[in-house]
Amino acid sequence: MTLLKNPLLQRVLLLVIVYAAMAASVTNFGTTGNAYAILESSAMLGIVAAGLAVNMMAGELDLSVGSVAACAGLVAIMMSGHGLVIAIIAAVVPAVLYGILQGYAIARLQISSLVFTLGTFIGIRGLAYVISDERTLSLALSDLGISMALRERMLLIFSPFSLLMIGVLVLTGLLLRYSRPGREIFAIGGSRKESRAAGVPQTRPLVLSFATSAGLAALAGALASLKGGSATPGSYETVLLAAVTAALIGGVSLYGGRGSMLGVLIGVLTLQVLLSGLQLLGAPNWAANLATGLILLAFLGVDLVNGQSPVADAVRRYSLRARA
Amino acid sequence: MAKADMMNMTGQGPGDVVLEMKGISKSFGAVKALRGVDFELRKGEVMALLGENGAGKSTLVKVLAGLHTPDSGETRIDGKPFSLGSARLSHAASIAVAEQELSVIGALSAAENIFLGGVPFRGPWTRKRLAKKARPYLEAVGLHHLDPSTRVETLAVAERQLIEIARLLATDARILILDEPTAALNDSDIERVKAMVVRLARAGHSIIYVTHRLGEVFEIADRITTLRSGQSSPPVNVSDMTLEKVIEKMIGRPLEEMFPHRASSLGAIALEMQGVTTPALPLPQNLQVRKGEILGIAGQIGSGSEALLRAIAGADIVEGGSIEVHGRAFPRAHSLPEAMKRGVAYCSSDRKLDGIFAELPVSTNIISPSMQRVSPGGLVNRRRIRALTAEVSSQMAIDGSRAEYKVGALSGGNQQKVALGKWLGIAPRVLLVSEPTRGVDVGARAEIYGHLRRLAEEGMAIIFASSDIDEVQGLADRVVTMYRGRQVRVVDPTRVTSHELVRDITHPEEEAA
Amino acid sequence: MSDSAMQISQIHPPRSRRLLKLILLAAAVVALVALGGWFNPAFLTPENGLAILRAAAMSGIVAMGATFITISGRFFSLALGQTAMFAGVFMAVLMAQGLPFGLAVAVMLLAVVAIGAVQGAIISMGANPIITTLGAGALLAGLAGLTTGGRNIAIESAVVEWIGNGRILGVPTQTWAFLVSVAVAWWVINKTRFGRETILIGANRATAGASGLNVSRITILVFIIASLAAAMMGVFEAAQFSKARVAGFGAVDFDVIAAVLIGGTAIQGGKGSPFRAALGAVFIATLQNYMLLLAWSSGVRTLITGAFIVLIVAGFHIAGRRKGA
Repeated sequence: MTLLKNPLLQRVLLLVIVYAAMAASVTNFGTTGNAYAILESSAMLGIVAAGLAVNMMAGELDLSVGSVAACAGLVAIMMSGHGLVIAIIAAVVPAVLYGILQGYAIARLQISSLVFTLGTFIGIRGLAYVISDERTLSLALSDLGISMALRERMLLIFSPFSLLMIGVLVLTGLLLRYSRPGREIFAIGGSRKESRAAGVPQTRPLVLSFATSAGLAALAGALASLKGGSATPGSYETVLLAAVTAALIGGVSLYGGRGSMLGVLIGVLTLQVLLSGLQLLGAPNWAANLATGLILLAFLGVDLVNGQSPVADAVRRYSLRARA
Repeated sequence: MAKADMMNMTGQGPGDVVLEMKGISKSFGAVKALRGVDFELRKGEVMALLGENGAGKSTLVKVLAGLHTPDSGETRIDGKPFSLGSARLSHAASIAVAEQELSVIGALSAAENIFLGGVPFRGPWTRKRLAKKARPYLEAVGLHHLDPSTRVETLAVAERQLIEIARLLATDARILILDEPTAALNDSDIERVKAMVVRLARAGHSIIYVTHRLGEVFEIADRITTLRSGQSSPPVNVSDMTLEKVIEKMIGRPLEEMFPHRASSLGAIALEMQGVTTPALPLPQNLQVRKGEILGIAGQIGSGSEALLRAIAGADIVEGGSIEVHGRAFPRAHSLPEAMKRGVAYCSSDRKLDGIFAELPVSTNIISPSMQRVSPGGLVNRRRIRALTAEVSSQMAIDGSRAEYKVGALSGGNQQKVALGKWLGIAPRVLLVSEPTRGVDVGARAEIYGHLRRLAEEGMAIIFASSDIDEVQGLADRVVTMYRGRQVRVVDPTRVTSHELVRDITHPEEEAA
Repeated sequence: MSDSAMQISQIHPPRSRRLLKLILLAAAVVALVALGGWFNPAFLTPENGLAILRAAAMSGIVAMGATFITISGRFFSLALGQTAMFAGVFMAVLMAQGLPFGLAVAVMLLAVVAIGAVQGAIISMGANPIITTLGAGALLAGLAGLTTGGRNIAIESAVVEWIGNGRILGVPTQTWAFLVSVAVAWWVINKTRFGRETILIGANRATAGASGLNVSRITILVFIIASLAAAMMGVFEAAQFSKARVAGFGAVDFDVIAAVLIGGTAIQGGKGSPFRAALGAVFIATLQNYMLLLAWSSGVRTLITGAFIVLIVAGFHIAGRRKGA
């Protein structure tokens, strides 16, 4: 029973339960075909969530990930004529540079990332409209092969895209756990003041976390757009909400210093299983919104009741009086 | 054993000057923390840095660590000019600090904390490799049994303090600064730290040792530099000093003049506490205070002295027992606003945290617990605000012309007067204060003691908790000593020696066992 | 026993200095307008001026409510756009069911108050306000879709038509509503106990609690106020075309936050004035209007708005630090 106290295991259990529930109530849910679809739809979100989670672990929040993904998707489509690799590099490299700049500005100005990334969120979205001239861009017929290649079904349920997602999560997880920069990110995340007093460099891990959130968002956006064959400047507006929800489900703390990539993977899968189930049940678009919002609030609530919050205090006072 | 004896054993003594500071000044707004301080340190010596609360010790330490840039003055290391100004520069100059405010990172393990302070650790940060390299440092501070992979947030304050020192050791810096390294430690840990400091000095490290425990100074220090109100006096050899001389240097006047007279007559019982337990105080607590009385609760950090006050104040949940103020009982598991309604005011030990609104003006701070009083019918009444501000300011001798100053810009003493004075607005029957003169300079301390005595004479019952034995003995009419959540005994401070009180709160025999 | 020395400027800015800063801000807006008019006369026509005010009015009304959230130290809410949408939609649905305007609005407001209170309650328990409101916003969008089946709802009512397009003394109703809400917000923050307590909990939540203030109650009220402001805007928005839309409120949150930030209200709370947010809203509306006149594409306009936010916020931040630290 003590095994169940492990938060990570709790989340795996939740995923299993949710999957089982869906498989029982929705026809064709438990097939390998559907598993492939779920993994496919998780890929983009998973990569973005990985980057955003790194940022959250550093105690920050990069609101601009959706806008960056949109720009990256557009750039990738525009450069698709030069092949998959060039397209991706062209999309990701500027994003990483942007992330470095953003992180540096936030670190040096010592400004709240919420406020700063609010500005870049809006600005980069504008940029997306500018570079695409407000049109939808599509892959040239001659390049459709790229799209097909990304979708190729491998090992029954995977595709290059979803395998890449898993690869990104594993690599990021390893770097976070076993390298100095990774540990620095955790340090400044959970205890910013103490880490400064302890002599932990402040700028380097911040810059790294923002470069990661932007870079991975760009990678995800580029690949997703190439796979889908087109990109629009208004896309990926909901990815921020979904990524944060997935990270929270996975145990990444908003207060920094806590979480793991494995948790992110579980969070993403849990969310996608739920949304996939809803879709198969024929629920309309807004239902996904409703569901995601409810899940997010539910996990916030669970976190609160468990912790040192005022509500736990109030509950105890009440129960002590009731006993009198 | 005395430092002199230890030194005689090796025949080695301190060498050349490694650090020299001249004319260092640093101000924060109105607060002149350092005024032309001179400081020097020799190789292989332990220099004790002494001074009262607010004398400037921590500021000097932070300046050396690179966290503050001095406004003026020059520094030399090994004879070469050195500009203080960033943590990185100080780090490069091989200066390392173990701060008074612990800077260990909770989410990380003990081993990770040791190596994150800039100490090189090559290769992957795996649990095994970290643990292996961390163990010698943990052992040096006495944490042999601690698993280096333990998350620091699960450890007690004492263990965290030791890890902070272990991190310092790992830097292998030439100049080590320890700011109150033994504040949270029990006696056996303290012995170990002292022995470690002497060992380090013998090995050639130069150590600046900041402490309040004068006994430690005589045991391990070579020389003493004393700060008083931001100014330094030239260093003296420990062998030339006595305890009384040291104290006099620190406070600049005989101890007796600091405190006002005691209560001449006491009134009816103002507060009665029976069998009270809280999560922080599992043992039942009884207490009684009379009108006009100042009760002092002496105890180290974590002894339960502050927890006792928090229980009465409603800041912690009271699980069992009863509390009565002026004969009226508190409801079960009462809250802080409920305690306030019944005339209990609580002033915590950390005003920066929850005692003042640093960015807001004095007047706003003063009226903050009395919002109901100054806004009848929900509308703010400027006249009432001005009246209350003037009344409290005059009572606490706060300069009226400073009513619009941001509280954070005031000196420590004035800030504390605001933190205390604001409670006068609710006309409390019982005033609870934890560490009443923390971060307050000498002159203001005496003033605050005077205010507290006057308030008591006007009928208030005052309970204060303090880890400063001199303060407790000087100010209180009655003293309760506490140790590890247990009240040791209740004594008349005039009939007991300070040594006895120190023994009560530190229990050396029990620690040694 | 540490030195509690702090690096901040000494005197809390006296009334005269705060007023001066406000005047400077207003002057900046006027200068912008003058400059714009110099380059493009069409900018200075009264119709254009009213158009700017009307555009500013919509986000300005919400900004008045959002200012309370920021001053109380809870950063901002990302649910206000969806609250506005939900308000318009719910009212329209109720009216389509046959309820008279007054009753429909009353029921809708009850729902809005409840949803705002829930957000405030969760946040007062310690939840991150951004994430909570992000989730609440999604929830509200979902509810709006649920009640309408995803379709826009037409409203047939003379009252609503007037609300959306009427004029009093030649000035559109929304502008009046904006001006009134600025005055009300200012009065509440400065003259009521609730307003002063909001500032206190923003300045230092721990001290406020230790001083006996009911932090939870004030937090909940603050979110209710913001939700009500958003609802008012939603009603105006739907009234303008007599149609409640189930989409298109995405930019509201960010226009509102931009107004609050560009106006100079500190993000960490404890100080600020609704006037500043109002001026911020006007500034942004002016900027966007001018860019429209220059026929710049929406992409460029968005880009520039974003850039402005970053620059001005960074500028305020640096100025604030240099003065104090």
